[in-house]
Amino acid sequence: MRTRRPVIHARMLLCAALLACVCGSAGADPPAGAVDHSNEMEFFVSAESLTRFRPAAAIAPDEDPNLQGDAVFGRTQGRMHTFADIRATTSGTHAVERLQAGLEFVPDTLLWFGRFQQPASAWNDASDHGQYLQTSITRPYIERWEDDEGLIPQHIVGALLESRRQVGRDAGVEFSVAAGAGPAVFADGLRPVQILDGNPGEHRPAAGARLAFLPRYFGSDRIALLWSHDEFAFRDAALESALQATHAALDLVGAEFNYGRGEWRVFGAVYVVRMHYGGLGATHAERLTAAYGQVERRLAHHLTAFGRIEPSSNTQNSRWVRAIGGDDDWAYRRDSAGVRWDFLRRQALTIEFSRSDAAQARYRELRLQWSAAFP
Amino acid sequence: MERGVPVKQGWIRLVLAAALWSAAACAQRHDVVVLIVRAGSDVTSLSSVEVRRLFMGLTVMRDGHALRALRNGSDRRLDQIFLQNVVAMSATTYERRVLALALQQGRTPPPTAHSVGALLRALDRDPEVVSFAWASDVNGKPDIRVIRTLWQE
Repeated sequence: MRTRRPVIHARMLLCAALLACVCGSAGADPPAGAVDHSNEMEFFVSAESLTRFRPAAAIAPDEDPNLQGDAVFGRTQGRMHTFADIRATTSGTHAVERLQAGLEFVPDTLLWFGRFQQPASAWNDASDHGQYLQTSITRPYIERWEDDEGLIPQHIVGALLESRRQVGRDAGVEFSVAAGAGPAVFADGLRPVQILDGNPGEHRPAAGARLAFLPRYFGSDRIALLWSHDEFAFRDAALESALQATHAALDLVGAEFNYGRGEWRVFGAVYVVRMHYGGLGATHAERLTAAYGQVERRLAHHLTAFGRIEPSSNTQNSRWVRAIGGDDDWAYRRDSAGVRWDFLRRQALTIEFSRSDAAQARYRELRLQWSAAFP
Repeated sequence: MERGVPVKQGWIRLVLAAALWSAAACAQRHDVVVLIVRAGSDVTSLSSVEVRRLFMGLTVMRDGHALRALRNGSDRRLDQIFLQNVVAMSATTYERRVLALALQQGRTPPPTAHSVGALLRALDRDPEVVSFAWASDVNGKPDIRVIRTLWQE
């Protein structure tokens, strides 16, 4: 730890310099003069406690951070958009999660370049890193980030085209297409291209797309189709041995839905993932399916109750899950429920209880979280 | 003594009538919400969908320039009318939608002017700013142009 501190400070300074470049000033006050640009700055902060009721079989302790923050900076000048999302946690993570520059060549159609989130994720589209914007504390296992035992690449460095068009009087369609370089695979999991840290290379092509129909153009309801293709080179001999391959390709197709009526909202997604391995002996493949569905009900006194199920198929026997999910607590099924209380403007307390079935054992978790967005 | 009672009743009626007239005038004064820009602005019309897009933080262009929405936070009732009639969302839903846009694309939620004076100054400085106000607050102001009526009781 002692030797890492100067490195951390240097990175934090680099982060600060980056922020200064992206956003000269920010705030919610009306423009102070005739201006042709606008700035945006938001901070998403959360603190979490976790109690795990361990089963008889030992499960490695979870490494969820106690405190994490995301700083989001955006600048719009005419048709040009720049955007940065920087994340820091008490468990030592500090990274530029997104750094994008884009041209809005027609309203609501943007071509971005930089590091961004791959579009074939239902969860990312709704809440991203902002804990305050998601009702539950946890993300579904299949939606986990790369540095948190995530099985599916979530970040691409390259180009992203996003568009949203109105159809008829109320409806709309939305599509996103992305292509670029995806993560490399190491013994500790997927590692996307880093902005601040060094990159050892071997980042192969990645592409993703989402096509959504919006019954109400300005609403949250949607149904969408998801697709992605990622290629990997393995950077670890043990991994090559475990997967009997030196490289692989991941093909994903999925669907998502999100529907709200009155005080109720229900949403979910299903992903079918097919892995193709090659390079050591004969090529081989495997397929796994993972899904989740969440229902939410707004109650009196700014309370929201929620419940989620996360079933999956073929994940217990999957080599990919064993190799990348790594940690022995990766759950092939989880059921969770909880209550969120929005006790102040832009601040919420959430309690969530979950029961997970992992390869080694069943375990239960109780989480308590404070989340907020500032200013 | 007998003449004093009708005189006193007359005064009471007069005061009551004045109070009623004043209350009615006050209510009348705040019965129309209008969409406004600076008088010299190139913006001459905006559809209801464009107004909604603008106040959701989405892009609306005029002559190659992006318009900027300015929320009027000078009056609680005005803000309720804005939420119900302009963006058609609850305060919580609206806030989460603009926050989500900020998180997804770094888009700027419309800033808020907390007084009519601040709102008028912001309009005066920037021809691309679009806002809304009670008609009574902007009627007769030569430097403000009313584009359309957003709400009328």
